[in-house]
Amino acid sequence: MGKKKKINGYLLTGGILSALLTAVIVTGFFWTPYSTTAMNAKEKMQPPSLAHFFGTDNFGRDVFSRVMQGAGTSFLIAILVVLIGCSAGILIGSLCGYFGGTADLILMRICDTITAFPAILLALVIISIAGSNVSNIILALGILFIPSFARVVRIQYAGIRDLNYIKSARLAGVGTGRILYSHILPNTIPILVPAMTIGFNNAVLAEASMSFLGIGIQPPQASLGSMLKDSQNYLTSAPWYALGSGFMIVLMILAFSLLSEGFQQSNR
Amino acid sequence: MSLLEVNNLRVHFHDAAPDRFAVDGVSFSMEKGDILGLVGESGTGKTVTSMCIAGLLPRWKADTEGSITLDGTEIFDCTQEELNKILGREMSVVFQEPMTSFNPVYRIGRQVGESLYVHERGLSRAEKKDRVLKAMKKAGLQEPQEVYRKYPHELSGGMLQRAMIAAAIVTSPKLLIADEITTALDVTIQARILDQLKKLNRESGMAILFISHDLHVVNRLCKSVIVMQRGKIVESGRTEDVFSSPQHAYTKQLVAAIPSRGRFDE
Repeated sequence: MGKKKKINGYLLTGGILSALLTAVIVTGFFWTPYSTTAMNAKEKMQPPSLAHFFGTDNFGRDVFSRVMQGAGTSFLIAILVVLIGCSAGILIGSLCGYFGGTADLILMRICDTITAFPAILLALVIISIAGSNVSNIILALGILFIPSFARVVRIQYAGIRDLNYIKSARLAGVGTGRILYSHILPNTIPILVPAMTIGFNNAVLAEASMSFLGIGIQPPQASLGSMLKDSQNYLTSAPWYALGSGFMIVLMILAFSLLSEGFQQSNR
Repeated sequence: MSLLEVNNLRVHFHDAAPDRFAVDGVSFSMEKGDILGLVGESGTGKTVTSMCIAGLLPRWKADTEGSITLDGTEIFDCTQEELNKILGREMSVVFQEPMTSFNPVYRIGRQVGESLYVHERGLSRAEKKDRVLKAMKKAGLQEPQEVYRKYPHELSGGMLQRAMIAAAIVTSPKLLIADEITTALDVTIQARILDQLKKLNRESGMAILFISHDLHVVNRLCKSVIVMQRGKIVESGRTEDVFSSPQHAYTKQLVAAIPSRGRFDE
């Protein structure tokens, strides 16, 4: 009798939430119910209604439309940050883990040093020097995310490099490049995917924190962090303003955390 | 010129005592079509010898002396790129532990054909598949089309060992080093693999260096044998002669330790 396959609740819930969020965000790139920048004095501080799901802000802008756009910005930034961090992390981690030696020691100590500093603080320094624009935010956060990926990849490569199937590949005359990226890399994916989802969450939080502090996305472009900051002054008079952007941040983190946990559970 | 010549090979591991050599003055040669057995108890230097021949012993781990030439090419003088051109094409190596010798994320067919991908890049996908299926059949795998599509975890130990042999012979190498390849297998599978190796040797003239501590298996397969003890060759000669009238005390001990000697005489 066949054993009934257990449903991975985390993966299912995370998958559904992430799919819904992605649909809202992608739609936001092409269409929003209202303009995200046009001000309307008559509609200032309107509570949630059928016309404005999340109400309006102090300039009369539709909060839901701005949340859609802000989430899209955060989403794009987080994806690019993870891509930069992950690609460079794979390159550094694979070489360190496979070859070991002095270069491994030096590179890993550099990673330790970067990790020792609070990410936001370092990003602040980089952006203060390079200037505050989207590409600099992505680059700064991307660099700061390299050590976490490099460390995960390095451990995997160091563990796999001496396994018999890698020895077999060497004995077949396979070159180092192909061993690194065709034979070992696919075996790191079960660990890399949860690391990427965790990295995505951290990137969303970091971008929102930077915008909250005023060093991230600049007005009038919508950002979840800057919307949260602006809404602070209206917490008692217009709580929906803070709730809308806060709810989206929580939902994004929750969806991808569940997805990450789901991937980890399916690997066990 | 011999196919393989090992001259006065000495190996010293950096973490060993200064006077302790893992392999100490080993010399032997193999011609095309030879099947040579390398026997001795565990830790006697058989695998280290095979690793040296395959150029697999890292220089940071051990110092080596002497020379190993394969078809006139000095293995110790080869760069990694030159060695990569020899491995899998001129010389193939099959190790024990078939269960862990295949990458779990790829299908068997792809992995058996890896040497073709590396050494014969001009082949089309269909030609490559055809060569892989032929090698699988030669290695004694029934229904190679089925096996081609399977993942390693879907095959038994015996099938995986035969798939490893298929991977080793797919490029028709001149020398096959088989290191304890029948150790983890039951007697019936062992017998089938030995028969397959004999057949391959007969049909293609591929030389086989067969490393084992199982004298019964060596007796069944090898034309000549070398007995090693503590890194040194203590006796060598035709398999029948060495096993029927061993000269060295250690060989006598080894032969005496076989539980069913009667089978050797069959």
